Amino acid sequence: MTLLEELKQSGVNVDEGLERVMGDRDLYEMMLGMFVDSVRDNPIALEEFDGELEPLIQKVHLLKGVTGNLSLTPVYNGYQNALTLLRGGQAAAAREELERLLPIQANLIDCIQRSQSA
Amino acid sequence: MERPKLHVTEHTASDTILIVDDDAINRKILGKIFSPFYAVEEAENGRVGTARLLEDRRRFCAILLDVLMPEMSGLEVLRWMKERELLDKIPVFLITSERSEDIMREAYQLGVMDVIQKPVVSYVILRRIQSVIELFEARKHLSTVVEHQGAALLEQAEKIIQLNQGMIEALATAIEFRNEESGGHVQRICQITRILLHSTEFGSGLREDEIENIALASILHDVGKITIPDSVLTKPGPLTPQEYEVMKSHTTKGVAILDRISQLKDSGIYDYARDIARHHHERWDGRGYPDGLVGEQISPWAQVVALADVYDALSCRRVYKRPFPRSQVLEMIRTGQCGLFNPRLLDSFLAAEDQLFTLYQNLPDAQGL
Repeated sequence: MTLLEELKQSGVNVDEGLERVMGDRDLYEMMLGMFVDSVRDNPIALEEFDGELEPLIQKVHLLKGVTGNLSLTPVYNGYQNALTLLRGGQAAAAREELERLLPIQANLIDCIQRSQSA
Repeated sequence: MERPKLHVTEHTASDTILIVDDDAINRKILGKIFSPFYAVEEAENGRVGTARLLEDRRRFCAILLDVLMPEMSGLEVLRWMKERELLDKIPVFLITSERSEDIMREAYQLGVMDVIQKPVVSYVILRRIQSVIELFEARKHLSTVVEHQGAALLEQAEKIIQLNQGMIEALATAIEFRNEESGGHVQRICQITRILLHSTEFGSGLREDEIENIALASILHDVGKITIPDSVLTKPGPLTPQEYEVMKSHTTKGVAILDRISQLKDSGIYDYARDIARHHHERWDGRGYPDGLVGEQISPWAQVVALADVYDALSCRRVYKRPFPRSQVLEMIRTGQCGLFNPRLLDSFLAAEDQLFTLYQNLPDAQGL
């Protein structure tokens, strides 16, 4: 199974993501690698809810943008909800949203890394 | 890959889209969408973006601008561009996932062309931005064409003005030759009139275009002489009282001639030419002709041409007289030997006389020789 087929099965809207880059499959796959880098460079730890929330909000905002661009729908929706909740002062609900999405994100990253290291 | 030609015309080199976004993935996506049609440049924040604009803004046909960026945000870029009146010249599109009412309102108030939501839909963003670029290019092209046409029309109008002026001068010179004068008289009257109105207090209050019209109209001051018989016009000796009456009629006949030139009526010189032709022999004390006007009843331009005419006549050889030396010319004018002039005009004349005298320095048969 190819990477894109695997991502599709995980709920990623691959067709929409490909259309956004004019069907350029190589570019899309390269950007999936950039998504992995973005997550690595902006790690979200649930402990951050105990301190100043602004840095967390900035990271969530950034990752929402990246996942939206690639149509990584399951995590994009989660980041979008979490950002709305954080900006609305509902930190506890935002935390629950992130707790839910982080394992899904980890799964997507695993798929991508496996494929790209193969 | 060679980029397909879009509707970017040759009048401008604006064929580059500037993408200002701190997210490399966004820049790659937008670059991918637009690079088949435009050159694409990237900037990772507003500071870099504005620096690119400062380098050479004319190459950019559109700017795609993110809102939240480090160093300088999208709204700060818009404010910066607004201050420099760049938003009328380059269409700016806000590409944002922000849905904040405040941001939208300020962006539109500043002059952003459109706000496009992220994640973008490629065919939608492409069409929306292309349409605006084409519109801007067409507008630019149109204004260039209008500018060129305007310049061509101005050039044409200038030629027509020169032709008209040439014809007026030709007519006046023909009359002068009949008068057995050198042909330079009307030119000098025109120059003296211009100098007195332009460079002295007497012309204050007149606009530049009015002075030019008066100077041109002065050329026609003696147009009525064409009706005077040679026996009177070129008589070397003194005129009899009857002959003098005939000679005086050149003022009223000049007006009659001007009234018959219908094309002149639409020109800015008509009223001045008519007034000058009729009244350039009036005198400040009412002893001139044909109407015996007194003082301020005589228009300033008729007064100026009257003095210019006397100054030139005294300074040059005529069929009936030799040229007088400069000092004598000034004395005769100052003491009213050729009729009285407005004291204020006389002051202005004497103040400018050094300049007027230069018109005669290289003239054979002129004063001061």
